[in-house]
Amino acid sequence: MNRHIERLFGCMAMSLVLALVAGMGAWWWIDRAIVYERPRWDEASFEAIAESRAARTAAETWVVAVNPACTHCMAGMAALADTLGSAPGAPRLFALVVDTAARPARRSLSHPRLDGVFWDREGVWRARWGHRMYGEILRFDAAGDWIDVPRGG
Amino acid sequence: MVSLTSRFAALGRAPRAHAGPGESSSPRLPWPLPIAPTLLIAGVITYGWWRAVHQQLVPMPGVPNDPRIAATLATLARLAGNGLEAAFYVLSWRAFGHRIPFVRLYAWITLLSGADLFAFEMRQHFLDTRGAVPVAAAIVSGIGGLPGSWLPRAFHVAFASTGLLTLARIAFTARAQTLATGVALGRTLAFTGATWLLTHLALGFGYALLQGRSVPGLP
Repeated sequence: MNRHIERLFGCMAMSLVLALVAGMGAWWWIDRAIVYERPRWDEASFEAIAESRAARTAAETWVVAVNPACTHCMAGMAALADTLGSAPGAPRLFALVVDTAARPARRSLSHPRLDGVFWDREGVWRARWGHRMYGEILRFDAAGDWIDVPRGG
Repeated sequence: MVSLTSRFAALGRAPRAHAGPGESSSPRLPWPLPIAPTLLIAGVITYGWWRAVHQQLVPMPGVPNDPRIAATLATLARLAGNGLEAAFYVLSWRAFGHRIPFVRLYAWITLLSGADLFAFEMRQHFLDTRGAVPVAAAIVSGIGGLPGSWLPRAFHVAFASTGLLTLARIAFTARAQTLATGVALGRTLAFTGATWLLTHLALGFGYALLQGRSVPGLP
């Protein structure tokens, strides 16, 4: 192969890596500059799939963001529900179905420990809060204000 | 473009007097070991990666399909990553007028990935047995074993392998390029280190974009 062509390919390989890093960096920078709302748990913002149980006294409300297509996060939510106690003072546990165009079926999200299931029809979780990881647990205090320090974190 | 590439060639010029710009160096990179031991050790390392990924996936609830298939795909992706890394160095050094035999460099990189595997296994050993990685072990095996650092979470994960073993891997990868090109070790080290830094930076940006404002560290 012509030596100059070889050099051209070499320059292209290095330029590609530099462009990738610069592009990802610029994308990240722009994303970081977007101001999202601080999450706040307000049941009126979401559509109830399963009736919310009678209000239990709890210091905290835990909301698990799930997508029915994500088997791992669905299993994680079930595991959390299995292990989370229901004694007085234990947190209320809600499932928030996100990134789903169609209204999810109730039976796919039934668990006796769940205090309620909500559908994020308007895309609040992603678009307004800026959250993106399925299976994450959002902790809110009794007033619905977000607790931003995760347990054990 | 010709003058540009000539300038690039001057940057990677070998210290030898007769290796001027535009002169391709003859392949001098030896195999890391004789062929049979190279294949054997590469096989052991590849199996080690498969086993490590499989052990990570088995206890995870809801992993779709068979974890063995996921582990196999992850291992193949790692081998492809080694190939991409080798191809990048081969192509880049051609810009400087040097030729590196791809297969031999691929063998070096695959064997050197054993250092990454050892670091990973070391971190896992401490996490499994003690629940935490001591700082001294983290210095050797990588900061990923520590619960956090001054880096944002996404970048802490991207640079999880940063430790003495990774530094050794970078140094030996640079050494292989020095053997192949005759370029001074300092330059190959700078080039390899910069490549590692940039690719891991891109990885950090990617993780941060995937994470968004989600709170990390939760089950």
